[in-house]
Amino acid sequence: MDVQLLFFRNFGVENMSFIRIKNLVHQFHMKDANGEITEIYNAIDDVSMQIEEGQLIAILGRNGSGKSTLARHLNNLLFPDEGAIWIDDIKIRQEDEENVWNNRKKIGMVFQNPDNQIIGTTVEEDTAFGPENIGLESERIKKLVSDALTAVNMEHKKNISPNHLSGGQKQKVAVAGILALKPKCIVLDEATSMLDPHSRKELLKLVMELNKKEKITIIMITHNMEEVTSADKIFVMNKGKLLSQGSSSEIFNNSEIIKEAGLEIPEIMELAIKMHNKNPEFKTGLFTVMEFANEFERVYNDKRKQE
Amino acid sequence: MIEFENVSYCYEDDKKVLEDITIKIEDGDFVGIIGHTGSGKSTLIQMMNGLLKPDTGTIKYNGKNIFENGYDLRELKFHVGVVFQYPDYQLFETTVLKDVMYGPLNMGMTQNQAMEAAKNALNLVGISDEKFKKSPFELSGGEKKKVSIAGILAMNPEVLVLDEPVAGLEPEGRRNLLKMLEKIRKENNITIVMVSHSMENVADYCNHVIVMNDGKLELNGTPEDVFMQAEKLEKMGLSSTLAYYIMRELQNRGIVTDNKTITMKEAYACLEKLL
Repeated sequence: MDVQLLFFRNFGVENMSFIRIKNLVHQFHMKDANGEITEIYNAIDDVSMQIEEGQLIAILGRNGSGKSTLARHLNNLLFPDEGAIWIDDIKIRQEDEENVWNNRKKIGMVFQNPDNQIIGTTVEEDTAFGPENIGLESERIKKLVSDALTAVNMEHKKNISPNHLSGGQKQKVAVAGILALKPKCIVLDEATSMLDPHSRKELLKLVMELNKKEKITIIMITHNMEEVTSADKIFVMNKGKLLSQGSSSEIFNNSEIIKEAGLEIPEIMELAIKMHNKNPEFKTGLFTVMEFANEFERVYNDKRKQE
Repeated sequence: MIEFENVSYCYEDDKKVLEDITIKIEDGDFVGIIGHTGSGKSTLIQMMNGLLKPDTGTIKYNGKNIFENGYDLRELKFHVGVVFQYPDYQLFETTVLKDVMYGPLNMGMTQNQAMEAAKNALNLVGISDEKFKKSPFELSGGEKKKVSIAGILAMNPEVLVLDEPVAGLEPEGRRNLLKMLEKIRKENNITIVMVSHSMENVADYCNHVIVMNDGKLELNGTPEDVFMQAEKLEKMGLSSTLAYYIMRELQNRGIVTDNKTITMKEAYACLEKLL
């Protein structure tokens, strides 16, 4: 057992966060044509953060800011050069194979390109890949796969070849493959960026449901600001460092962070900020048509009363 | 000017991809094409420079039928340039500069002329000189996109056709690319046709909107004509703009009477007067 965990257990300290990252550093080595290292830089540079179970998390930042590198540490595709990560208070240890496999079961990843993550010849077979890989018995696998496909509403396509699915459907099958392992957390690394608006909405609806109903922790990496307005917490990465963290209204109200990290204010909030500049009574942390209309009606009626 | 007259197209298995499409794209237009996946948008744009031939109907460029015997389709490709969605499939040379010179050389320009044209095009899209000698594959997604656009611009086209130019780009990149397109359109006096999934981008930049659904032309007109028809768009799995929905909600509550607003700029102009 991890020494640190033993320490906390023995002294009765309250359980820590679901995911805890402390002073994480990950280095990339740039090599020339002869394989000689020409440059070492910190893709992740001393990042610490905590994520609670059941949260809906967004990680924002430019390409190359370290978002994906960070996410790849969570399901042990990459390991820290310095610092450490705890999942369920268990420290990730590269040398401990069982530890690595346990983490991969807990935290699944959906990537950007739907075509690169499908392996089975049918939807059912593809979804069963994970459970088969960890050596579950076939009856159990059948049940897990069927439940997972039902959850993503793809049960009716189980005998179809994944090649015949749309991009959005392929992403749902990728999510099913993760669900079949009964994960605690799903990381979506720009998983909606290649989808059309309809499929994008469907996939988002699905992950929101999994978050609300199944209490699965969701971590979304995205360039689409409209997608993250309902996140419990947003982490903003810039040049390998954690630039800021907070609620969506805290982050999007901070124009310096928006500029520094190359983000964009969601359209409705941008309009609200303009309204606020015109009349300070107008609140700014608004993200939906209804929120905006309610606030506008309130300020409008107040003004009529005063006149 | 590009004209489609009663254009239809089927796949080999007789599945209709385009059905009786008649549209006209005027010189200097900024055209937005919207529609969900499989609606026929990509087929439509591949016909604009003769990459695909319709089964029936005619396509005219500047009044001439492009599939008539004797029409120079090769030359048409210099006038109507298509930039596809994934730049990785369009870039292939060893350096950025060579990649952009490929089109001009193909047109018959001398080495020096082609280099001049390529440098101008790269400057136009905002790729700086120190990147010219790099491999296109070392660039970021946004830069690759810009280089693939420069490759077409270097041929000095009259019409620039782009399939989802901002898809997959980061927010800054999206904004910059759209501003750049609008600048090029005005300064070089070219026509731009853009397939887009963003209703907001189309409302903000285009003066002519084409809506495709199941291979049919469902709506065709100004952004106002199109985005006022929210219900029709929703039935096709699309939507109107956020600005439209905000103004409609405020109209339902009896606060505004205006109902022709489709952009945030217009919404602000109307709403700020009321506070």
